[in-house]
Amino acid sequence: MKDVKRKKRRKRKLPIPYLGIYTALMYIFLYVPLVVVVLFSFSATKTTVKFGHFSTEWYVRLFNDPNLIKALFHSFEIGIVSVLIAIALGTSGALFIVRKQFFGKDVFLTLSQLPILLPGIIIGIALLMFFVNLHVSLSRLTILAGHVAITTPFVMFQVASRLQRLGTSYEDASKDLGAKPIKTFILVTLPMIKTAIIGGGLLAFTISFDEIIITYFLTGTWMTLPVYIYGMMRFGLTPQVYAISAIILVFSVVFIFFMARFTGTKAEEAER
Amino acid sequence: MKDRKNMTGLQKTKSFFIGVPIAVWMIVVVIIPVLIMLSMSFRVKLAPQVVSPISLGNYIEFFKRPIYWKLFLKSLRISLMVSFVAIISSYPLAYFISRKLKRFRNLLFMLIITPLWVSYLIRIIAWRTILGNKGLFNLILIKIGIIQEPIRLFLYNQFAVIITLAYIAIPFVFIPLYTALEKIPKNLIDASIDLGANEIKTLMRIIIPLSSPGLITGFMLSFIIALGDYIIPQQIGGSGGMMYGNIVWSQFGIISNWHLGAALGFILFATAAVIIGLVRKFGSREGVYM
Amino acid sequence: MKGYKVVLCLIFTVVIAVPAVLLFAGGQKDEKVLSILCFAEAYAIDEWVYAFEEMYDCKVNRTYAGTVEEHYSKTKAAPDQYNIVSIMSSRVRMYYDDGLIQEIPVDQLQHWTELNAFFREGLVETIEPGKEFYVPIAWGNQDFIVNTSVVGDKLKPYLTDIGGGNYSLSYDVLKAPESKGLTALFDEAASLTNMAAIAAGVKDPSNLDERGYEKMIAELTAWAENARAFTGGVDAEKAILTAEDAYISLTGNNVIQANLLVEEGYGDTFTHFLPSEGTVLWVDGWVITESTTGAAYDLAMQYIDYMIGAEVQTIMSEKVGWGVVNPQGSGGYSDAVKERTYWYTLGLDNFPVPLYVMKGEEDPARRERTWNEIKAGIGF
Repeated sequence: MKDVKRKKRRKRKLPIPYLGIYTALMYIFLYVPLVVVVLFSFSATKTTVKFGHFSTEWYVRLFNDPNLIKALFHSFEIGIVSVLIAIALGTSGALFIVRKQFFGKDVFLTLSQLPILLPGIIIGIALLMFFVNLHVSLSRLTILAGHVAITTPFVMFQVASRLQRLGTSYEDASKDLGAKPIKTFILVTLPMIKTAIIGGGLLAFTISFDEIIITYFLTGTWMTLPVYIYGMMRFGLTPQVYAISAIILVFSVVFIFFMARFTGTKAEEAER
Repeated sequence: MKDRKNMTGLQKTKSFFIGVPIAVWMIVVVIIPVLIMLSMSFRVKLAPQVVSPISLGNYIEFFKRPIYWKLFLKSLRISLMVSFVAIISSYPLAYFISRKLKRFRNLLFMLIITPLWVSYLIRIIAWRTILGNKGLFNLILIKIGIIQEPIRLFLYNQFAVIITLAYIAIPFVFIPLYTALEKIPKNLIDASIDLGANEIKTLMRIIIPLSSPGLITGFMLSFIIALGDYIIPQQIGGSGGMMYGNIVWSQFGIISNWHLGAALGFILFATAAVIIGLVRKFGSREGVYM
Repeated sequence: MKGYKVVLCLIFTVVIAVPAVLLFAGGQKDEKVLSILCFAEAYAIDEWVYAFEEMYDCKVNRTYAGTVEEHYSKTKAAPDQYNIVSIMSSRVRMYYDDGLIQEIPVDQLQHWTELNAFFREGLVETIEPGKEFYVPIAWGNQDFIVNTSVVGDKLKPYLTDIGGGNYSLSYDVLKAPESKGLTALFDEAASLTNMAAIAAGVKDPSNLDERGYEKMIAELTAWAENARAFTGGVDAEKAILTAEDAYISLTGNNVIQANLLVEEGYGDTFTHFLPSEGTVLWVDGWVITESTTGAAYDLAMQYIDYMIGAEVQTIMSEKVGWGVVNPQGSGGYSDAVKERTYWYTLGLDNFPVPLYVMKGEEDPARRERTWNEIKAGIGF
């Protein structure tokens, strides 16, 4: 009798179609503004209120606009390099906080979360004052410092979270078998935290790529794409920026599909 | 067999070396800049190039003049609303993708992040277009028949600011929620169902509490994004759209009072730090690293 | 390793290594570089910058800032990064006091004497006797852009005939109850405080005493509380007008909008009006930063000279629209400007309404704070 009752109860679930529909609607919500941008990039007129007839003029102009393209490459450069440094700092930092006990760990953890938990304007101001007081000239390196500041915690906490979940058993086994710490790290630890590093790195790159406020405070003449666009907003917002955004969007979506296929179901199953 | 107890003092110290890079980073980009900002905040600007000795003047200024503390409270209020909206809308999304889908999880996860690569400024302009008098939103409402004429209630006001900020925040809320929900072991859910709970009960009693580290982190990220933003209020907020971020930023323009700016900034910092601390105290013990 | 994995690793390495190398090594030190800080699409546009680069075999590095404020804060934060900065004539004193700029020997500028006397004498207060620190390059004024196709007939009570078939519009339209939520104001403290003072009847809007401040604040607050939004740029203003989210805009971009709106087919919808009570005149020009020396200094002087010459002034009035400081460059105004913001072609002596040149205010910081306070007081 009890079995029959249990079976009946198990059947009463939230209808999945509703959640599915909600999810689809959310994706539409997230992407409608982007579709609008793509549409305007093909609109002949400069207005953002109505669509003009179809035109690829802005794409043509984009390829003749060296400053905009240069800014895009700068964003890319800073993004990649910040992520590399963030991965180095973040992974070593994660190993440090997860595996070692030390006095003041809580404070350390809170402090290391600060760069992402503080509004960009605060970090920008603080770093600007830092550099100005030390008479360091603003350049791509100061921007790099700012980007490393905000990206490192993301990597560190992704990796730390994974390390904690994995536990020390594998590494202990490796050490018991006589491997030196470095070998243990490369052959045992690293493969296990690989996806956390990649995930954290991707997130870090995303943050760096679209970062405006801190970059704005810390740059002199070296432009990244978002800061360049920001500087154009008074007089010069030409539809080339919609064109370049549309291109970025298409590249990103293609890239994502590619990555998903690559790290696809096999990796997902491996992680479960 | 080597274990910690048998390590010599030198080896123990050596093993702490792994923490050197992160400690250096911490000191250079976190501690020192914040200390500098702090020290600047305790000097009051008396005249161009003239500052006072150590004084609480800037902080007193914050409490004395409504322009500062009123704007601060307004920003807090709006940030709370934004976070609320962002979490409520992201949770079912994260739940569905992390727990209900077998295939395409990775892809769908990444597709939430993809919009973040299109410039924030461009996305704001897109929202200005959508919410405007001749925008998509009005057009749809007219098509459906809810209204006959376009209405001006969707843009240049608090509604627009909250929607746009929530839009920006949602991917950042989604990620920790997804991570936390994904971690919940399936056997707990199974056990709950075996014990007779339906999905809603399981959700309320087990899943939501266990995902609290994600909820907390998501809330914090969204809150911070909203609190310090000054671009969205200026572009989309209309005449009443000024927020605390604008007044902090303004100190670095012609007003040229970096010291007051530092103090106002530090108040923002301190508030965020206090809220973080409180929330972690009341939050889950498990979620230390997320 | 499988074949494709090797390829992917290679691609990966390249993608990682190239940016790293570029970032750290990619600062090719050009011999001759001129670093400019100014508004985008205004004072350093391709049309003449490329020609300049060829003429003087140099590289021009352009940094754009969106507001007068940002120009100032960027220059203060990085004084060694820019050689010339475009600033308003009313701000020269401020930059000088902060030690940011150096003298400009105007007798070395070929075209200096071609400038209209108005721009050479008395525009900027004497900072150091016998020395110039500023070279004007453009001027403009603020006016109204109104969607006359919708509200044209409602404007009658506020219009004044100024002859030649033209009308001016009173500032009172901004306070009018029927305008509530349908106006947009140009979000800049200096312009707005001056214009509000003019509207309030203050004699010298650049020099407000306490009573003047009271009157100005009352006027500006009334405007702000009636407004839909404060626009920060051409795009924002164009959007709010063309979407009909607002019908009246007090604009700081009159000539640019004149050209743009016609270009996009809104020529019949919008009309420009000068403010009846008077308007402010701003002048933009170049300063040379204190730290500029050597090759950069020469380039700075050459660029400034180039910009006040007839050729570039003509291009500027044609492509951008602003008023020229060198009368020889006045042939470039577009038809849209000649029709709508026609006063640009009249010259400064024949201005249809009272004209108040923006001078360094009694307390620029206080003007900013005042405008901040007014904005903060409008809440939701």
